[in-house]
Amino acid sequence: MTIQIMVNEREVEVSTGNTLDAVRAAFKPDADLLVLNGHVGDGGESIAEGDEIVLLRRGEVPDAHELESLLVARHTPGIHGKVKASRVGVAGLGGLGSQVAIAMARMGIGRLVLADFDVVVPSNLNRQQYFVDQIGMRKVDALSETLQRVNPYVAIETHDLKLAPRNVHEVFGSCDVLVEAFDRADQKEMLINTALDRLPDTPIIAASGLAGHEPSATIGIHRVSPRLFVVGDLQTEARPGTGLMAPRVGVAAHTQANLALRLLLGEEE
Amino acid sequence: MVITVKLFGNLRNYLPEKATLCSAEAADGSTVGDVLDSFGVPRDKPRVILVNSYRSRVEHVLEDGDVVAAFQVLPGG
Repeated sequence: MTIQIMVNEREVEVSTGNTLDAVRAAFKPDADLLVLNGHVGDGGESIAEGDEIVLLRRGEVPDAHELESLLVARHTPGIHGKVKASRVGVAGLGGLGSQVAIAMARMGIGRLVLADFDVVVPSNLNRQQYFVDQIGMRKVDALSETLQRVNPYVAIETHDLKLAPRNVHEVFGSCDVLVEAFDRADQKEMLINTALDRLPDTPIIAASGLAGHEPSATIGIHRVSPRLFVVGDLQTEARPGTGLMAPRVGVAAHTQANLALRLLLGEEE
Repeated sequence: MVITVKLFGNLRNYLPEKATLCSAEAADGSTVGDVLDSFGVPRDKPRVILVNSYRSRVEHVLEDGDVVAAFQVLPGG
Protein backbone atom coordinates (compact mmCIF):
# COMPACT_ATOMS: atom_id res chain seq x y z
CA MET A 1 0.00 0.00 0.00
CA THR A 2 1.43 3.38 -0.99
CA ILE A 3 0.59 7.03 -0.54
CA GLN A 4 1.40 10.18 -2.55
CA ILE A 5 3.31 12.92 -0.78
CA MET A 6 5.32 15.99 -1.83
CA VAL A 7 9.04 16.04 -1.03
CA ASN A 8 10.87 19.26 -1.88
CA GLU A 9 8.04 20.23 -4.24
CA ARG A 10 8.12 16.93 -6.14
CA GLU A 11 5.33 14.39 -5.96
CA VAL A 12 6.61 11.01 -4.83
CA GLU A 13 5.15 7.69 -3.78
CA VAL A 14 6.09 6.09 -0.47
CA SER A 15 4.87 3.14 1.55
CA THR A 16 2.26 3.68 4.21
CA GLY A 17 3.40 3.67 7.80
CA ASN A 18 6.57 5.66 7.13
CA THR A 19 7.93 8.28 9.45
CA LEU A 20 9.50 11.61 8.57
CA ASP A 21 12.90 10.06 9.34
CA ALA A 22 12.29 7.32 6.80
CA VAL A 23 11.44 9.89 4.16
CA ARG A 24 14.64 11.75 4.98
CA ALA A 25 16.66 8.54 4.64
CA ALA A 26 15.07 7.83 1.28
CA PHE A 27 15.32 11.26 -0.30
CA LYS A 28 17.92 13.43 1.47
CA PRO A 29 19.88 11.59 4.15
CA ASP A 30 22.05 14.61 4.99
CA ALA A 31 19.06 16.86 5.74
CA ASP A 32 19.26 18.38 9.21
CA LEU A 33 16.02 20.38 9.03
CA LEU A 34 12.75 18.55 8.43
CA VAL A 35 9.58 20.52 7.69
CA LEU A 36 6.27 18.67 7.64
CA ASN A 37 3.28 20.67 6.39
CA GLY A 38 4.92 23.91 7.40
CA HIS A 39 6.05 22.82 10.86
CA VAL A 40 9.52 21.77 11.92
CA GLY A 41 9.53 18.09 12.76
CA ASP A 42 11.81 15.88 14.86
CA GLY A 43 11.65 12.87 12.55
CA GLY A 44 9.29 10.65 14.46
CA GLU A 45 6.11 11.96 12.89
CA SER A 46 3.95 9.58 10.86
CA ILE A 47 3.47 10.45 7.20
CA ALA A 48 0.03 10.57 5.63
CA GLU A 49 -1.39 10.95 2.13
CA GLY A 50 -0.92 14.47 0.74
CA ASP A 51 1.71 15.55 3.26
CA GLU A 52 4.12 18.23 2.09
CA ILE A 53 7.68 17.70 3.28
CA VAL A 54 10.70 19.93 2.85
CA LEU A 55 14.09 18.41 3.61
CA LEU A 56 16.93 20.91 4.03
CA ARG A 57 20.53 20.99 5.02
CA ARG A 58 21.19 24.24 6.84
CA GLY A 59 23.39 26.62 4.88
CA GLU A 60 23.27 24.56 1.72
CA VAL A 61 22.48 26.46 -1.49
CA PRO A 62 20.26 24.41 -3.79
CA ASP A 63 21.89 23.65 -7.12
CA ALA A 64 20.45 25.22 -10.26
CA HIS A 65 18.34 22.19 -11.12
CA GLU A 66 16.91 21.90 -7.62
CA LEU A 67 16.11 25.61 -7.35
CA GLU A 68 14.46 25.55 -10.75
CA SER A 69 12.31 22.63 -9.66
CA LEU A 70 11.20 24.63 -6.64
CA LEU A 71 10.36 27.64 -8.81
CA VAL A 72 8.52 25.58 -11.39
CA ALA A 73 6.45 23.98 -8.67
CA ARG A 74 5.26 27.35 -7.40
CA HIS A 75 4.58 28.88 -10.79
CA THR A 76 1.44 28.43 -12.77
CA PRO A 77 2.14 25.46 -15.09
CA GLY A 78 3.65 26.41 -18.42
CA ILE A 79 4.98 29.76 -17.30
CA HIS A 80 8.49 28.97 -16.15
CA GLY A 81 9.88 28.07 -19.57
CA LYS A 82 8.88 31.45 -20.99
CA VAL A 83 10.11 33.34 -17.94
CA LYS A 84 13.47 31.57 -18.03
CA ALA A 85 13.91 32.34 -21.72
CA SER A 86 13.22 36.07 -21.23
CA ARG A 87 15.43 39.12 -20.84
CA VAL A 88 14.24 42.18 -18.99
CA GLY A 89 16.01 45.52 -18.94
CA VAL A 90 15.72 47.86 -15.97
CA ALA A 91 16.82 51.48 -16.39
CA GLY A 92 17.45 53.01 -12.99
CA LEU A 93 17.86 51.00 -9.80
CA GLY A 94 16.07 53.17 -7.26
CA GLY A 95 12.72 52.62 -5.60
CA LEU A 96 11.14 51.21 -8.73
CA GLY A 97 14.05 49.44 -10.38
CA SER A 98 15.44 47.66 -7.34
CA GLN A 99 12.03 46.17 -6.59
CA VAL A 100 11.28 45.24 -10.19
CA ALA A 101 14.64 43.47 -10.42
CA ILE A 102 14.05 41.51 -7.22
CA ALA A 103 10.58 40.45 -8.38
CA MET A 104 12.07 39.30 -11.68
CA ALA A 105 14.83 37.34 -9.95
CA ARG A 106 12.34 35.64 -7.64
CA MET A 107 10.40 34.58 -10.73
CA GLY A 108 13.54 33.02 -12.18
CA ILE A 109 13.84 35.35 -15.14
CA GLY A 110 16.52 34.27 -17.60
CA ARG A 111 18.53 37.48 -17.79
CA LEU A 112 18.37 40.87 -16.12
CA VAL A 113 20.05 43.86 -17.73
CA LEU A 114 20.52 46.53 -15.06
CA ALA A 115 21.77 50.09 -15.56
CA ASP A 116 22.46 52.84 -13.04
CA PHE A 117 25.37 55.18 -12.36
CA ASP A 118 24.51 56.01 -8.78
CA VAL A 119 25.70 54.87 -5.35
CA VAL A 120 23.59 53.85 -2.35
CA VAL A 121 23.06 56.77 0.06
CA PRO A 122 21.15 56.71 3.36
CA SER A 123 18.09 58.52 1.98
CA ASN A 124 17.57 55.67 -0.50
CA LEU A 125 16.72 53.28 2.31
CA ASN A 126 13.21 54.68 2.82
CA ARG A 127 11.97 52.86 -0.29
CA GLN A 128 14.79 51.21 -2.21
CA GLN A 129 15.88 47.62 -1.75
CA TYR A 130 19.29 48.29 -0.22
CA PHE A 131 20.69 47.81 3.27
CA VAL A 132 22.68 49.95 5.68
CA ASP A 133 25.79 47.85 5.09
CA GLN A 134 25.55 48.69 1.37
CA ILE A 135 25.72 52.46 1.82
CA GLY A 136 28.40 53.82 -0.50
CA MET A 137 28.33 50.84 -2.87
CA ARG A 138 27.55 51.26 -6.55
CA LYS A 139 23.88 50.43 -6.93
CA VAL A 140 24.57 47.91 -9.68
CA ASP A 141 26.94 46.05 -7.34
CA ALA A 142 24.73 46.27 -4.25
CA LEU A 143 21.67 45.06 -6.12
CA SER A 144 23.59 42.28 -7.86
CA GLU A 145 24.75 41.10 -4.45
CA THR A 146 21.15 40.96 -3.22
CA LEU A 147 19.89 39.29 -6.38
CA GLN A 148 22.58 36.62 -6.09
CA ARG A 149 21.27 35.86 -2.61
CA VAL A 150 17.74 35.55 -3.99
CA ASN A 151 18.58 33.39 -6.99
CA PRO A 152 22.22 32.76 -7.88
CA TYR A 153 21.27 31.27 -11.22
CA VAL A 154 19.75 34.37 -12.81
CA ALA A 155 22.13 35.88 -15.37
CA ILE A 156 22.74 39.48 -14.36
CA GLU A 157 24.30 42.00 -16.71
CA THR A 158 25.15 45.30 -15.08
CA HIS A 159 26.00 48.65 -16.62
CA ASP A 160 27.48 51.21 -14.25
CA LEU A 161 26.90 54.20 -16.48
CA LYS A 162 24.65 57.15 -17.14
CA LEU A 163 22.13 56.25 -19.81
CA ALA A 164 21.92 58.64 -22.71
CA PRO A 165 20.51 58.50 -26.26
CA ARG A 166 23.85 57.21 -27.54
CA ASN A 167 23.94 54.07 -25.36
CA VAL A 168 20.31 53.02 -24.76
CA HIS A 169 20.28 50.67 -27.75
CA GLU A 170 23.67 49.22 -26.87
CA VAL A 171 22.59 48.44 -23.31
CA PHE A 172 19.01 47.29 -23.83
CA GLY A 173 18.92 46.20 -27.47
CA SER A 174 18.67 42.51 -26.56
CA CYS A 175 15.85 42.87 -24.05
CA ASP A 176 12.34 41.54 -24.53
CA VAL A 177 10.87 44.24 -22.27
CA LEU A 178 12.33 47.52 -20.99
CA VAL A 179 11.30 48.93 -17.62
CA GLU A 180 11.84 52.68 -17.14
CA ALA A 181 12.52 53.11 -13.44
CA PHE A 182 14.21 56.48 -13.09
CA ASP A 183 13.48 59.07 -10.44
CA ARG A 184 14.16 62.29 -12.36
CA ALA A 185 11.66 63.45 -14.96
CA ASP A 186 14.30 64.45 -17.52
CA GLN A 187 15.86 60.98 -17.40
CA LYS A 188 12.46 59.32 -17.74
CA GLU A 189 11.67 61.50 -20.73
CA MET A 190 15.05 60.76 -22.34
CA LEU A 191 14.69 57.02 -21.92
CA ILE A 192 11.09 56.81 -23.14
CA ASN A 193 11.72 58.97 -26.18
CA THR A 194 14.99 57.24 -27.05
CA ALA A 195 13.47 53.79 -26.67
CA LEU A 196 10.54 54.80 -28.87
CA ASP A 197 13.07 55.84 -31.52
CA ARG A 198 15.79 53.24 -31.15
CA LEU A 199 14.07 50.10 -29.85
CA PRO A 200 11.10 49.88 -32.21
CA ASP A 201 10.06 46.37 -31.23
CA THR A 202 10.58 46.53 -27.47
CA PRO A 203 7.65 47.10 -25.12
CA ILE A 204 8.37 49.95 -22.70
CA ILE A 205 6.92 50.05 -19.20
CA ALA A 206 7.41 53.52 -17.76
CA ALA A 207 6.22 55.06 -14.51
CA SER A 208 4.87 58.52 -13.74
CA GLY A 209 2.90 59.72 -10.72
CA LEU A 210 3.55 57.51 -7.72
CA ALA A 211 4.48 59.83 -4.87
CA GLY A 212 2.59 60.30 -1.62
CA HIS A 213 0.07 58.03 -0.01
CA GLU A 214 -2.97 58.19 -2.26
CA PRO A 215 -5.03 54.98 -2.56
CA SER A 216 -3.20 52.03 -4.08
CA ALA A 217 -5.90 51.58 -6.70
CA THR A 218 -5.08 54.97 -8.21
CA ILE A 219 -1.86 53.42 -9.55
CA GLY A 220 -3.07 52.37 -12.97
CA ILE A 221 -1.67 51.20 -16.29
CA HIS A 222 -2.07 53.72 -19.11
CA ARG A 223 -1.54 52.29 -22.57
CA VAL A 224 -0.28 55.24 -24.58
CA SER A 225 0.52 53.17 -27.68
CA PRO A 226 0.54 49.45 -28.48
CA ARG A 227 3.99 49.13 -26.88
CA LEU A 228 4.24 52.06 -24.48
CA PHE A 229 2.67 51.62 -21.06
CA VAL A 230 2.83 54.11 -18.19
CA VAL A 231 2.23 52.92 -14.65
CA GLY A 232 1.12 55.42 -12.03
CA ASP A 233 -1.59 58.01 -11.56
CA LEU A 234 0.10 60.49 -13.94
CA GLN A 235 -0.73 63.22 -11.45
CA THR A 236 1.16 62.90 -8.17
CA GLU A 237 4.73 63.99 -8.60
CA ALA A 238 7.48 63.83 -6.03
CA ARG A 239 8.00 67.31 -4.58
CA PRO A 240 8.45 69.00 -1.22
CA GLY A 241 5.46 67.99 0.87
CA THR A 242 4.69 64.93 -1.24
CA GLY A 243 7.44 62.41 -0.73
CA LEU A 244 8.20 59.04 -2.21
CA MET A 245 7.14 56.34 0.21
CA ALA A 246 7.86 52.65 0.17
CA PRO A 247 4.28 51.33 -0.03
CA ARG A 248 3.07 53.33 -3.02
CA VAL A 249 6.38 53.13 -4.85
CA GLY A 250 6.19 49.39 -4.21
CA VAL A 251 2.68 49.19 -5.66
CA ALA A 252 3.94 50.94 -8.80
CA ALA A 253 7.08 48.79 -9.03
CA HIS A 254 5.18 45.55 -8.73
CA THR A 255 2.56 46.78 -11.17
CA GLN A 256 5.44 47.30 -13.59
CA ALA A 257 6.85 43.86 -12.78
CA ASN A 258 3.50 42.13 -13.21
CA LEU A 259 2.93 43.92 -16.49
CA ALA A 260 6.39 42.82 -17.65
CA LEU A 261 5.46 39.23 -16.83
CA ARG A 262 2.16 39.51 -18.67
CA LEU A 263 3.85 40.92 -21.76
CA LEU A 264 6.51 38.21 -21.68
CA LEU A 265 3.75 35.64 -21.57
CA GLY A 266 2.06 37.25 -24.56
CA GLU A 267 -0.87 38.54 -22.59
CA GLU A 268 -2.39 41.89 -23.44
CA GLU A 269 -3.46 44.51 -20.97
CA MET B 1 -8.97 67.77 -41.26
CA VAL B 2 -9.91 65.78 -38.18
CA ILE B 3 -7.32 64.80 -35.57
CA THR B 4 -7.88 62.49 -32.63
CA VAL B 5 -6.24 63.71 -29.44
CA LYS B 6 -5.52 61.35 -26.53
CA LEU B 7 -4.23 62.99 -23.37
CA PHE B 8 -3.32 61.12 -20.20
CA GLY B 9 -3.23 61.93 -16.50
CA ASN B 10 -3.20 65.59 -15.59
CA LEU B 11 -3.27 66.64 -19.25
CA ARG B 12 -6.85 65.38 -19.40
CA ASN B 13 -7.79 68.55 -17.54
CA TYR B 14 -7.37 70.40 -20.84
CA LEU B 15 -9.90 68.27 -22.73
CA PRO B 16 -13.65 68.90 -22.48
CA GLU B 17 -15.10 67.12 -19.43
CA LYS B 18 -11.61 65.74 -18.71
CA ALA B 19 -12.06 63.10 -21.39
CA THR B 20 -9.13 60.91 -22.37
CA LEU B 21 -9.92 61.12 -26.06
CA CYS B 22 -11.28 63.92 -28.19
CA SER B 23 -11.64 64.78 -31.87
CA ALA B 24 -10.38 68.13 -33.08
CA GLU B 25 -10.90 70.05 -36.30
CA ALA B 26 -7.61 71.46 -37.52
CA ALA B 27 -6.59 73.50 -40.53
CA ASP B 28 -4.43 71.85 -43.17
CA GLY B 29 -0.79 72.23 -42.26
CA SER B 30 -1.45 72.30 -38.54
CA THR B 31 1.25 70.96 -36.27
CA VAL B 32 0.98 68.90 -33.10
CA GLY B 33 1.71 72.08 -31.20
CA ASP B 34 -1.12 73.93 -32.95
CA VAL B 35 -3.62 71.24 -31.97
CA LEU B 36 -2.41 71.10 -28.36
CA ASP B 37 -2.55 74.91 -28.24
CA SER B 38 -6.19 74.77 -29.32
CA PHE B 39 -6.96 72.92 -26.09
CA GLY B 40 -4.84 75.28 -24.01
CA VAL B 41 -2.18 72.68 -23.20
CA PRO B 42 0.99 74.53 -22.16
CA ARG B 43 3.84 73.71 -24.52
CA ASP B 44 6.16 72.62 -21.71
CA LYS B 45 3.82 70.01 -20.22
CA PRO B 46 3.58 67.16 -22.74
CA ARG B 47 7.05 65.61 -22.55
CA VAL B 48 6.26 62.49 -24.51
CA ILE B 49 4.28 62.92 -27.72
CA LEU B 50 3.31 60.22 -30.19
CA VAL B 51 1.58 60.49 -33.53
CA ASN B 52 0.02 57.25 -34.75
CA SER B 53 2.02 55.43 -32.04
CA TYR B 54 5.39 56.80 -33.19
CA ARG B 55 7.44 59.31 -31.26
CA SER B 56 6.78 62.85 -32.41
CA ARG B 57 7.33 66.51 -31.55
CA VAL B 58 5.27 69.68 -31.33
CA GLU B 59 6.51 70.89 -34.72
CA HIS B 60 5.35 67.76 -36.55
CA VAL B 61 2.85 68.59 -39.34
CA LEU B 62 -0.29 66.51 -39.05
CA GLU B 63 -2.42 64.79 -41.66
CA ASP B 64 -6.12 64.07 -41.65
CA GLY B 65 -6.96 61.14 -39.38
CA ASP B 66 -3.77 61.31 -37.33
CA VAL B 67 -3.91 60.28 -33.69
CA VAL B 68 -1.92 62.43 -31.27
CA ALA B 69 -1.15 61.00 -27.81
CA ALA B 70 0.70 62.89 -25.08
CA PHE B 71 1.46 62.80 -21.40
CA GLN B 72 3.53 64.66 -18.87
CA VAL B 73 6.44 62.82 -17.27
CA LEU B 74 6.45 63.39 -13.51
CA PRO B 75 9.41 62.90 -11.21
CA GLY B 76 9.47 60.04 -8.73
CA GLY B 77 10.78 56.52 -8.67
